[in-house]
Amino acid sequence: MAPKSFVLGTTFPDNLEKIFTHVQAGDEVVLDLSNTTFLSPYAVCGIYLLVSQWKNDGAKITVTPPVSMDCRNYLDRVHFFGMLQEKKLALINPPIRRVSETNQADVLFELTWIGEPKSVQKILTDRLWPIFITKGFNDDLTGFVVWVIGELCDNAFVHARVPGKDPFGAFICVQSYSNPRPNIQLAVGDLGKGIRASLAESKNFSGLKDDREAMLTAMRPGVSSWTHREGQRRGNGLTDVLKIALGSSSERDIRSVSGRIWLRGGRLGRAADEGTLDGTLVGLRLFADKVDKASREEIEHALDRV
Amino acid sequence: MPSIVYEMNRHGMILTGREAGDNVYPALKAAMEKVDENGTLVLSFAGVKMINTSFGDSCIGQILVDLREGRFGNRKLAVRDVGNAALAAALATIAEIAAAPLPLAPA
Repeated sequence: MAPKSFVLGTTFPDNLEKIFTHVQAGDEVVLDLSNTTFLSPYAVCGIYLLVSQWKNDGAKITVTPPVSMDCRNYLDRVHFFGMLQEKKLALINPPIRRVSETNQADVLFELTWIGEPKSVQKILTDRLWPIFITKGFNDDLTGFVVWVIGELCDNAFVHARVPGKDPFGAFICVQSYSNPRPNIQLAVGDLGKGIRASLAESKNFSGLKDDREAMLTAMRPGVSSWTHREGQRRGNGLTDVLKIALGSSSERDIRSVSGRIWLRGGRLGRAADEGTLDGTLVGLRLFADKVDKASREEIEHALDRV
Repeated sequence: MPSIVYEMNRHGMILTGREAGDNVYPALKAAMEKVDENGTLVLSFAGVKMINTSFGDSCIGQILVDLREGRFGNRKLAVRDVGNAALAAALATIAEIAAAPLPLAPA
């Protein structure tokens, strides 16, 4: 049987969401990146999780690297190919020639797997914070980035453990860009059960109709699978991320299993039906010259307008 | 009124994770119990770059709820040495979730 081929588009890449899919055990699958010239942290995290998902499905996977040397070398330096090889997830064909590991000039924070909660603090303290300060970002921006990543990692560890889905934990990737003005793009993802299944553990949220409704519900203050337990004040992680995204006039995508919610120009919206990626993947762009937090009323208003 | 200063940097430069925050709550509670009636426990953030809401809610937020519900009498909680805007925003969020004031004390 001919391998199933999934060809990624050129920049962003534009068809990324559509290739998120499951395959059958025993399938031979090719993830073809040959046309790709640019991958955001959201895309890097997304395709790594996709390959992991196919591996969990029982497929044999081949990744075709980008023809663009810039893109290929960038993917190598963000440790994408290295992670694929270390975890024995996929064959890389044609094989790539590894670039110098000392040439990290265009990489801010490479694709990183955090396998246990206590490692989050260590990685943020010992690696991310010093890297940001060395690259010239101030404490305000770095603090907001750390806040967002910390909350999303917390969510990943609460909701990510699902038997048969490896690896458990959170994936992070962060990159800085200068166009249209200095900005940071970050992504945090996991291969867990997703937001809808997590919320469904509470009797208050067992009837959510789809993943998009579940995400919009989870963005409201104090909503979590723990809400029914007396004395708990949980359920503010995604709310905080939305507050920072709105307050910073940033852009955001959050996808959970088969749904995606986007934020552009201060408006939230539901994406059309797309593919399926187990777990949750959040991408956020923060502009370096304006980082702040929206009020509770502002996010309630934004959620009411969806 | 007499106050006691509690250095938050003993728990790290970046404070993140609900579980880690849960572990700090007993130490804050013990410090609060040492404060005189009508006194203030002042949390110093010197050397702390950031706290996330999950961590802060499970220790500082819980103390704020304890105060709001009268479990520490007339004692108060305040913060100082808040070094950046993100840290200030996170502390304001923690107070908002707990529905209790968390004022800034003079350094």
